[in-house]
Amino acid sequence: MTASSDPIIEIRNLRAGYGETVILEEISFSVKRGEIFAILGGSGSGKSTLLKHIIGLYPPRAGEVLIEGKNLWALEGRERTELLQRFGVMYQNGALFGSMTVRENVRVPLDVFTYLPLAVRDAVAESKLAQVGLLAAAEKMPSELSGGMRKRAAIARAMALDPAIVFLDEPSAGLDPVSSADLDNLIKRLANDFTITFVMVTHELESIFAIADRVILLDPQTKRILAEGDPRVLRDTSTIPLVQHFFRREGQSSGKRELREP
Amino acid sequence: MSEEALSRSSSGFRFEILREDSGRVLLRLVGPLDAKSVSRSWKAIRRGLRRLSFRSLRIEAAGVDRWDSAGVAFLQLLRRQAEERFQAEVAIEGLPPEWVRTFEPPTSTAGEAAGSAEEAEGLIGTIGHTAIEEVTLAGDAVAFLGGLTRGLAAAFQPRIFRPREFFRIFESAGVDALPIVSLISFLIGLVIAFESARPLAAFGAQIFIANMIGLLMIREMGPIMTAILLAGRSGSAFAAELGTMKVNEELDALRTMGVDPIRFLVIQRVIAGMIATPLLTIYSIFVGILGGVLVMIGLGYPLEAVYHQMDSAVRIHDILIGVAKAAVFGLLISASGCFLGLRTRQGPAAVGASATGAVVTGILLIIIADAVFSLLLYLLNL
Repeated sequence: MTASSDPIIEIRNLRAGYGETVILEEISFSVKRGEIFAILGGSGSGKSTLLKHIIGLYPPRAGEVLIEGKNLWALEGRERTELLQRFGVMYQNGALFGSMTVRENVRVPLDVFTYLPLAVRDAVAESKLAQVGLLAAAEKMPSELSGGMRKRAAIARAMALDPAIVFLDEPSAGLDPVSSADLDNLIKRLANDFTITFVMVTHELESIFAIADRVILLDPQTKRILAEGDPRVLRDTSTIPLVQHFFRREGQSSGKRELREP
Repeated sequence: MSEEALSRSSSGFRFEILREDSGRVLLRLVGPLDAKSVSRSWKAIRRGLRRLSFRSLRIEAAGVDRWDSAGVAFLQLLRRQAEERFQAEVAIEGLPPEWVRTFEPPTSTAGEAAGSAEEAEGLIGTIGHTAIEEVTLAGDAVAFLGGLTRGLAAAFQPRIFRPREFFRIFESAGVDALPIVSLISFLIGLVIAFESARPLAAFGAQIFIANMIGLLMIREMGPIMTAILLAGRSGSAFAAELGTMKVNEELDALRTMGVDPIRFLVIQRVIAGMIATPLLTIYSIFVGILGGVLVMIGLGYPLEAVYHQMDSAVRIHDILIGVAKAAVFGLLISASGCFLGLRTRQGPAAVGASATGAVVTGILLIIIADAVFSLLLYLLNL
């Protein structure tokens, strides 16, 4: 794995929530460059909320979020936009713009932020689509794509500006096991080939064991981080009942065989 | 043991309410406690309990031979009401273990915490929240106006303006509206001419229908009818489009790319609205006058006479006023539609609510702006 010790994302004492509701408290962790990092938790544990705080959609109620050492909420104007371009986000359902073709969708960040000629922007978009195996669908509208294709197109768009980090919101939600495995392989390959840091929110144990280097597990009861570390190690050695419960019960379909091993 | 007897039997279900010597009240339930028996007996049980005042209630359910969620929920309700109304201690015996779990207070999660906070709010809280919401709305509207102004100023940066999107919107808001605008304007012109024909004939002034049609269509009906049609067709469409994008997280996607949704999505719509409305208005005026003129020809006036009459009544600034109004209406409709679209909340009903809100707000703003126009023009003697 290409992960180095240099932290690319640092979360310090974050209190997350919106309105008057506090969802998470005292959240601190860091993500290393090149790592595939997963935020885990059951439904309603606040994983998506945490993600929205990290990518700057919600302001932190307390604490700070540093991306490449910079605090998104302390920056304004050009500097903020530049930091935003250091990462891409794949939303749960892709969030592709419905009035544009797949190629145009991937081109949007290039259209807005670069002064490249159209032919070059198109070529970049095509290379990104090729990386996710969607070149053949470049001229299709998002409504003509399947769920898995939409997610892949969204990853291509998230990578359009060659970001250092790609955030994935529930990458395997709503996908059949084969598409989901394909997506896992894609993420793994991109992380290896381009040293992109992936941060994903998920509860799919199969993907977690397949690709995640490190995870945090959120606890909705205490609103804090319950466990942090390599998911395979946590599964095999953690003595915290909730951690065992999470990894074993949800892992029954896929992980039974592995669980029997010492 | 004094007995407050209230025993009834239906489908094998019985209950009795007893007062024990210690002053404690005992509710004994026997038979199936399920949706059926609860629906039949809950009133009687509650009445029976309410008649007694007690500090301690024991519910004995060991004799219940069938349970379902309704039965368990009913006991839960009884306990809560007894605790709240009489500050009574309630003990329930004989609840099967598999149901005991459902009896425990739900473990608090964030969502439930939010829900209960809302539940606890009284009238004052409601007033307060509404006030806060209105203030937030006003704040959002000001921020939107600021963003819109800034965006309009920078509108002609081609990379963000996206001309193709503009033409797509212009086509659907403007060109596609031609048939309906034609029909409505034609009928309005026709109806105005017909309705005024008889009263004016009483004064031998039927030729003045031409003045009326001309001024009314140009200064009022043309701009207003077009604007109302546009509010219904396009204001709602803008709100629904942007609302759907919000629900699909497309707006979030733009924000995390560092793209301002106002510049990326709103500007084209506002400019399209501001151009389409005056053009449609000119067209509507023309068609409306055509309708009126047809009626006048039917009444026996030669086209030339009608033309001269109208020519003497309508001055060029009337047309400019009509077109200027239309541009303002177009701005109001498309800006309010986009604003409400961007403010869409989560969930499938939210898009519908935004679209409805856009039509209502659009029409309201048109009428208010029209009133302001009338007042100003009167004061300016135009």
